[in-house]
Amino acid sequence: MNPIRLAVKIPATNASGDLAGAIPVFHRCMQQALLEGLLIDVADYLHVPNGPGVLLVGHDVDYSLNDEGLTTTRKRQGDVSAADQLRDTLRIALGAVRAITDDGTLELDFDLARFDIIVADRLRSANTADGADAVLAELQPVLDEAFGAGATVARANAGDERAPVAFSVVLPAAADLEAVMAKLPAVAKLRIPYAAPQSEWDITAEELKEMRDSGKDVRLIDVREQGEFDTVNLGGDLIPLGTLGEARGELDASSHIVVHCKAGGRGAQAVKDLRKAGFENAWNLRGGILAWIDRIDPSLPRY
Amino acid sequence: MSATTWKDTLSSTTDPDWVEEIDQFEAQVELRKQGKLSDKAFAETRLRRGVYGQRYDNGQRYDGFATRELPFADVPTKGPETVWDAPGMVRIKVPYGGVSPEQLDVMADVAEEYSDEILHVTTRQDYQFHYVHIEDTPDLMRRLAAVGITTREACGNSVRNVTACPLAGVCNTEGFDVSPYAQALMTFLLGHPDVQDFGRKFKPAFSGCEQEACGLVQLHDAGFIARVKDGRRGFKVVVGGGLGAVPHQAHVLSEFTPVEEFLVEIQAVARVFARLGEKKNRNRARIKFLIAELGIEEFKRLVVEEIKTVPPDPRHTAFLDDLAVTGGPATRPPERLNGGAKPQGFDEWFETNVRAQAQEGYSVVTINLPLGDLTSAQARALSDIAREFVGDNIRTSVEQNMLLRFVSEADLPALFSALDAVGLAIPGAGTIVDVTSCPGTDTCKLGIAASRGLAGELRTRLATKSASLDTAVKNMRIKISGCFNSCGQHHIADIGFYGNSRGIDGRRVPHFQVILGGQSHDNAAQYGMAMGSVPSKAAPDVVDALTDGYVQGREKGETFQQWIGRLGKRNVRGIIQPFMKVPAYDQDPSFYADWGDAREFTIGDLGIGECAGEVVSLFGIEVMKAESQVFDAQCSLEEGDFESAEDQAYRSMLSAARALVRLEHIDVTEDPEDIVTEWKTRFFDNERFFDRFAKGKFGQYLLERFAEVAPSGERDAASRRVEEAQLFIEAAHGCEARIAAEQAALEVPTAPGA
Ligand code: SF4
Repeated sequence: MNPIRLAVKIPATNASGDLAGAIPVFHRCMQQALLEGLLIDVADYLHVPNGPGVLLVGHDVDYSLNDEGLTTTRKRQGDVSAADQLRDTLRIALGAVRAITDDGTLELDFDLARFDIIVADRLRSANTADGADAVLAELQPVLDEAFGAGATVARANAGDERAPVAFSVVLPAAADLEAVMAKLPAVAKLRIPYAAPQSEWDITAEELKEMRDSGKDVRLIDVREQGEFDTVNLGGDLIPLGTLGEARGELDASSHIVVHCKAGGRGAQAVKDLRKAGFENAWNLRGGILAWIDRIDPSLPRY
Repeated sequence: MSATTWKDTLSSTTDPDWVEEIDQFEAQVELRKQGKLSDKAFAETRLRRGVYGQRYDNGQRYDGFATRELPFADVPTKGPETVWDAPGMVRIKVPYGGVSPEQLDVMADVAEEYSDEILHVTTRQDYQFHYVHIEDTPDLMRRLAAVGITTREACGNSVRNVTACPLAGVCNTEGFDVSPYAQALMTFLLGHPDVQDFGRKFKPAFSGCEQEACGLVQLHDAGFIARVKDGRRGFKVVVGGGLGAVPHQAHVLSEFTPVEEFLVEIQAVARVFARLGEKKNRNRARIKFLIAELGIEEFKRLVVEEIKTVPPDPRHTAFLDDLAVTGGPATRPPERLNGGAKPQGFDEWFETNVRAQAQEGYSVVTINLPLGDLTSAQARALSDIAREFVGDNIRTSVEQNMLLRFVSEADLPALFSALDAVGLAIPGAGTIVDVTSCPGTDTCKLGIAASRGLAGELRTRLATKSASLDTAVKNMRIKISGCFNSCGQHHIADIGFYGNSRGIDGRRVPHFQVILGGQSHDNAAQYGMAMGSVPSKAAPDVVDALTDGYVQGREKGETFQQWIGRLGKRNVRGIIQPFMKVPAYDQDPSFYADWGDAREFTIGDLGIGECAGEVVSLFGIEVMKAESQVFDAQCSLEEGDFESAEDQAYRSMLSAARALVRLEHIDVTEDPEDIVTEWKTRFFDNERFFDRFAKGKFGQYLLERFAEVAPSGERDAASRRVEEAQLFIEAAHGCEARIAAEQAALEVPTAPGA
């Protein structure tokens, strides 16, 4: 079955605080391309009781944060199977949890020991016991793959046939975010809007390629973490963002430097720091290594 | 369930005409995709099906740093500038806002699968779904059609949704229940050949009585007010009303048209309008312009003549034999509210959200929807509640609320609890807390400021102090539009706002124009007037200052409008004045962003950066003069001095034009001839003054006045001219903003790394 929408809802505790803070967080996520998807706008639905809260609307994925948690809805899937959609949506949702947590301005804690799956497609899946069983049969292998055999799944929304098919998943312990994401490679690739400026000193993937091809003396610095570097890299020097402060002394402030990370956010920060410290020729690869992979060398693995 | 399509699943149970139409639409979507249908033809088709564009659908969006391309797939467009892949808005027309529980369930389903799980009720009693992709629209239409809802002709140049008072049939003051007649008119005119050739849309409205606001008959193209004469039913018919940028009060076409004759009459009106109405210039194509041009007496004469030529049609009266009982009968017996236990919060809710019906033992319950929004889950819960308590008796109102009619009074506590469980028992319906708003910058392409953002902020602030508010203040209404187009009906609120913007020190600041003195009773018989623009972030404080001033300064029994009237425009302006100031950016950057938005503000989403501060401030000083002249014009208007009003309005346009000219040609004289000539060559002829949507409309106002300076000395013409001057000044601000943006773009540093 290829449902038209599949959503994953990850509960958050503490979220009842000032959710209006999610508006700038989502705007930042768009500006810096920190979340997957072609993102269009932020809609404030905080005035609606039991509503979606703050909604980041995309072309292929929506993110909404309310006092219950973060819902990530994949849409416009075309011919992608329910299993692949779940695989993708879980990864994207966990990525969003990471981005929001990293942002740090919202005082909320995500509970990674449970989540809900919602499949809204009344043409292809009826919300009856049989209908739900059929959907679950397709989804179960993905859950096993990501969480081992320990996940317990119960049908939700059973009281109302009009509601979408839904399941609650409970894990024996909080999932290890990075580990689970690593197990869920991208299936149906989302478009990321690389055109977004991320710092005042951005260069595009094409410009970087030109510089490298023309043999210019450019020093490429990768500010990601070791694990990410091992997954895929562009041959830059690995200096994780957290250690850049110490390592800076060993760099030549007058040299031509290009910094990159995964999607451009950390790179932008690094360039800002470098410029402040007097590096006058430091640049950020807009969109990070993902932009490079998508636009220059699709043969490299995306993560 | 086997994989099939909605078409296969639903076609056999849907009206075959509707199926055919949707099939055609689906085929046209396909043809457009293959490039076999022109942009324009497709745009026309889609608008006729209620499928609109939405903000950012040109693929451009300002993200707070710069204008960014939204990389939608590069397939054909849906219409000029509307990218194919970009999500849009679907509007569905429901006659007089009535839906059944079954229909509500399906709307919940489609919102959940194709939209953002929100059903939005508009200020015209329609429902809208946002962020819908064009490929999903045929299925969305099929599912709605299967339960008797069509999106057809909710827009475009044809007859729009017929509105009627949501209390029709149950109201204490009505002449009779107008809903079956509204239904008859709708059925008769939908797809009728005589309504296909309009230059512009045509919106009819019905009202059960003259004094209440519910139908807002005065602001529609045609309005029907129920009257009973010698035991016969009929309507007082008015034509040519409308809000829009320049509001018009409707004119009386007939004091009494018997129900047997009202369809012939409206058909004649349609034929006259189709024949003589403006077709080319869509800015002057609404029927109000035709009537203003011909005069109402001549228009009446033409209609009387036309009636003679309308071919006899049995449908003109056939509906009278079978007047539908709207909304069906009550599902529960009428029983009085007995003294049983009341749930917590019941009394407060009862006071504002429940009103007695004409029918003994029944009440109408208002569901206060914040900003007209309802989630899919709430809609399902509401349909269950309706099934249990009222059956099909669900309506929407122009206040963006929903109404349940024929609630047996004994059921009220149980109904309250059921609504409360899903967040639908918010008290304060019809009070100052119940702010209405158009979509504004959230989704509307024309929006300038965040009307919904401001409305949300006001709701929150007013709700927290609702308990301590004075009763007279509680009964006031606030309405907000995102731009001068007045979809939020700001002209008929006690306090109205419409969005605009001002340039301060090379940045744009979102503002709202304050409109006071409008009224919504007597079917909106009095429109409010602009009092001056305040920064968005100061708008809530203005509401406080006005309500406080009213509570302290009113005389016994004086309404807010009477108080405003007694104070006079200058004194009222004195209350607002302190809030007009914008703090410097480094003192309070929050003024430079709009409500509910984290991005620095920009106009038209064009992306405005730094620009030469000097140029802006020169314009700023010059245009101030225009603003104060137009304000004087309003004062004169109020004092009944129409000639001065017209004169001051004209001079304010000249000042605004001069302010623009001075940007480039500092030596321009004060001579009108000189100003208009310079302005015309420098800004109008080359279309720099043109708005993307209104084009040269506002510039034309100056040219028209320049060509014919003589004041008319009439109230209607004078107030229209003052409005026009106001809009001309707005357009000058917009023009200046575009120039500033161009300059900023020129100064952008060249790409790094090269
Ligand atoms: S008033 Fe303006 S912003 Fe609001 S809906 Fe109408 S056109 Fe859009």
